[in-house]
Amino acid sequence: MLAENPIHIANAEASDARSEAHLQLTHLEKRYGDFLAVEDLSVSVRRGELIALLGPSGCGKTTTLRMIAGLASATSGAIRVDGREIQTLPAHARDMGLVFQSYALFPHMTVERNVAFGLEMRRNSKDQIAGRVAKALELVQLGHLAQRRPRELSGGQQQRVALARALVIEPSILLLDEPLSNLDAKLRDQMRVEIRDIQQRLGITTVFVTHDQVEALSMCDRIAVMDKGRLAQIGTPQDIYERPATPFVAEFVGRINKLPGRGTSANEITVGDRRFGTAGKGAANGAVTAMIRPHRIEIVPRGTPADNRNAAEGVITRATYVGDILEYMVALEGGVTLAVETATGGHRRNFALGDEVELRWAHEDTLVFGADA
Amino acid sequence: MEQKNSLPFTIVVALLFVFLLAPVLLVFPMSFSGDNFMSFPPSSWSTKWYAALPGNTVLIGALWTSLGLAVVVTTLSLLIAIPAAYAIARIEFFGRETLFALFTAPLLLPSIVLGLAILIVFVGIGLISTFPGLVLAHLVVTLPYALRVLATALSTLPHQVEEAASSLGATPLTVFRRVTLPLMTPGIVAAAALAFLVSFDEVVISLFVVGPRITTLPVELYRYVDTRADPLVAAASVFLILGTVAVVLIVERTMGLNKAVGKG
Repeated sequence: MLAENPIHIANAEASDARSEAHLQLTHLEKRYGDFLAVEDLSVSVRRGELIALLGPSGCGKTTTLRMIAGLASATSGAIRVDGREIQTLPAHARDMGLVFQSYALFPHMTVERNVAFGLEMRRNSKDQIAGRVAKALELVQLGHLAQRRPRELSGGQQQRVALARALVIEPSILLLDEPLSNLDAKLRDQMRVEIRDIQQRLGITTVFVTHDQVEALSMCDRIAVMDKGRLAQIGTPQDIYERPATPFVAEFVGRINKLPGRGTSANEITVGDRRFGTAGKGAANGAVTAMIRPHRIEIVPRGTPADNRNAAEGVITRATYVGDILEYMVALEGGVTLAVETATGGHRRNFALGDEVELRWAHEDTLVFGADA
Repeated sequence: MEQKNSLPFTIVVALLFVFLLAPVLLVFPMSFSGDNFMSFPPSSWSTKWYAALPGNTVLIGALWTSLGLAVVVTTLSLLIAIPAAYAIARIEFFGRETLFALFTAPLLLPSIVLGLAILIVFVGIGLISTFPGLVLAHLVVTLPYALRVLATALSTLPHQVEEAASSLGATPLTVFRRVTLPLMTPGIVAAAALAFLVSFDEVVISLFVVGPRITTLPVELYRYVDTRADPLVAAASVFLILGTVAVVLIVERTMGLNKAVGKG
């Protein structure tokens, strides 16, 4: 009886780990000489989840992906899949599907041979390979191009071959390194939907490296924002966009206005002699920076009855028509200028240069950070 | 971009070509000379020097030696240079750049210095006037060429293609066999042709290593013109020129084909 108990506990822990974290990075660090490319990174990815590593170039996101794939070795820290440390495994034994930004197709092989490569490495039978390759090509709608060479395909088609090649081996984890950044805007939108759709259908745990916040926000279950090798914030797209943890995250995931001010209480700041309500949990006293997204600000004519929103009077100094939106620059009294975006549409009132207007925005759209932002 | 070349530019290029090729082209009429000494233009025409060529056992023997030598040297150059180039281009290790510089240094040394150095070393170990001696001496010159061409071929080959293969489950050896090697075929063909031609044409270093027991075609041709003045060497040169052109054409065809098949 005594001998049995620890085994039961170990099993329970293992199954627990399986349902909780499929891929787990713990205190991961990568050092190149004096340069810390990745620093103390801990991220836990659930089974079937699509998670983005989002950040500007040089933030360590690709390095992290390469460490997971086994193409780079971590200086310290752990990488676990289903609770098992995998860093002793070479890249070819890790069972991960990898899609590169450059697609990295084998130029000397046909589409079919490219996709079959991983199955040949696994010594599947010829019939089995043919069947699975055909199925994978069907999944990415390229069955009719099986005999082409990569150079005869468009960028989007090459991208799909790379995806099929990575998926056909039924990897435990799919790793995507900026897979859309070489495509033109229209195709990118289409592939975004397509990749998300395939990922959901297969239920495959996926790590998606990107510098494009729109891709991350629109495709992923959760986003890990990285800044200078460190994890800045991890959370759902809503968390990241509505409740950014740092000014860096706030600025990285979309345009935002910055206002220097002073904190007076947990949910109020002063900018000049104006008082604004905030999202709360702000730094109480001292210098702060308030941030407001341009499209969360409404422009109303002066004299509009007050509501329970923040209000500030100003003059329009620039109005730019960008098709779907109108971008205004509004100078407030006291030297601060705010960017405002409003959707264009027939029923909306448009303002012109020099108009004296009033700006309104909700308390919870006023994000407050320390003054050094 | 400007597509049409200007007239003065065309003329300069034409003159350059004439300057480079005139001596080579002169060999053709000279080989059909009926005279017993080399002069241009020949006073009469005949094919007697072509008829005399197969009878010259020294030159024919030297030709076979040179061909065999070039084949062995080319094979060994590739066998050594392919792994060496791979190591230098793909594996991070201490002293990598130094090693590459050292490997390619013979390219910068005057052949006469190399020849003398090889003579000094070979005399002591009995390699003078032997086939292995010639092979070793030629390798000193052909290896840097082969290594340089192959290293360049490898450096233009995207590393991510190899990484993709390994992520798909290919062991390092399989990656090399199935991906790296096929993709560097144009480089290998170029390196082989270069090694073959360098070995086949090599005179200066060979002069130090040949002896009464073994000799190469370029050395024998050189000795022939030293003692005789008849146009037999012109006839021999015609074959050498045609042979070289053939090698270059074969490379062009294979490379062209490979580019068609291999480049993404």
